[in-house]
Amino acid sequence: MIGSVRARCFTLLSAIAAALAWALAAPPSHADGALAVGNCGAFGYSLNYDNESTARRRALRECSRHKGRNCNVVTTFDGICMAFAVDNSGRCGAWGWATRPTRAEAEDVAVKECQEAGGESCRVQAQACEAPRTPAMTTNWITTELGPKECLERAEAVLKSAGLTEKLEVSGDSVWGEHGNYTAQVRCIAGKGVVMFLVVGPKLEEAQIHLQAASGNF
Amino acid sequence: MIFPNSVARAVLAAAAGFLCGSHTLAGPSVATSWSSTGLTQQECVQRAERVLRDAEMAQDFEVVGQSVFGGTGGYTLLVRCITEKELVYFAVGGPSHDQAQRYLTTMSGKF
Repeated sequence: MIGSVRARCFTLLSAIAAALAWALAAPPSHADGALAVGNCGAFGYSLNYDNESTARRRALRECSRHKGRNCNVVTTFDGICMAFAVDNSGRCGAWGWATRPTRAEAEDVAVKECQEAGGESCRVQAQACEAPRTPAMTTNWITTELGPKECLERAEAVLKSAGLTEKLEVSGDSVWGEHGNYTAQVRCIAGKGVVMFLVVGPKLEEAQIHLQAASGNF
Repeated sequence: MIFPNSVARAVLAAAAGFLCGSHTLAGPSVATSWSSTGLTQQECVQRAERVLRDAEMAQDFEVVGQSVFGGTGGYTLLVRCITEKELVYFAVGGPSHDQAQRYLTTMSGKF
C-alpha cells in the first residue's frame, strides 16, 4: 500500500518534473539560393537569402538583367553547391545544371547534363556553394530515481515508442536512435538523477515533436 | 551548512566525473558529454558564453534560458547549465563525427 502510494507519487512527481523541465532549442541557420535560366542559356542565380521566395525573385531578376528571355527558376538550393554549364559551341540551346554536396560533383553533373542535352562543348559558366546549414538542436531533461539499467531500458522503450527506431543502439549510459534525418539521444546520468533528451535534425519543429514524444513518455 | 565558495566548487567539479558519448548515424553526427559543476546558474551560463566566444567556435550564439547555443560551419554547439543538479551538459551536432567530437572536446575542455 505504502509502496503503491509512493509509486504513484513518484509517477506524479516525474510527470510534473517533465512538464516543468525546460525544453530549449536552437533553430537551424537557414539560407536559400536559386538558379533561373532563360532562352539560349541566359541565367542568373542568387545565394544566401533568408527565404526561398526572395531567392527565387533575385535569381529571376539576375537572369533578366543578363538579357535572359523567358527566365524560369529551375532549382533552389540550401546548404549545398550549384553549378550551371552551357554549350560554348555557338549554338543556342544546350545547358545543364546540378546541385550536389561539393563543388566538383555539381560541376561534373552539370557538364554531363549539358552534354546529354546535346551540347558538344559544355563548360561550367557558374558555380556557387552555400555555407552548410547548422542543424536544429533541442534538449530536455527530467529527474529520475531509476538505476542505470532500468533507465537505459526505459530509454530504449521510449525511443521505440517515439518512432526513433532506426539504428537503435545502447552505448555506455546512452541510447541512440534515428528517424530519417533526425538523431536522438537519451542519456541516463544516473549519478545525478537526471535523464537528458536530445534531438538534432534539419527542422526545429520536427525535432521538438520527436523530443516531446520521447521525453513525455519516459 | 556552509557551502564552499564557487571557485572551490568549480575545482571540485573539474575533478568530478566527466563522461563522453558520441554517435554517427545517417542523421546528423552528434557528440555529447557532461561534467559536474559547483557553479551558480549565472556563473555557468557566463562561462559557457565565454567558452564559445573565446574559442571562436561559434560565429553566432544565443543564450536561451539554461542553454547557450552556438553555430559554426554546419555545426550546432550547446552548453546547458543544470546547476540545480550540479550538471553541465555539452552537445555538438553536424555533418562530420570527427569534427563534432573535436568541437566537443575543445568546448568541454575549456569550460
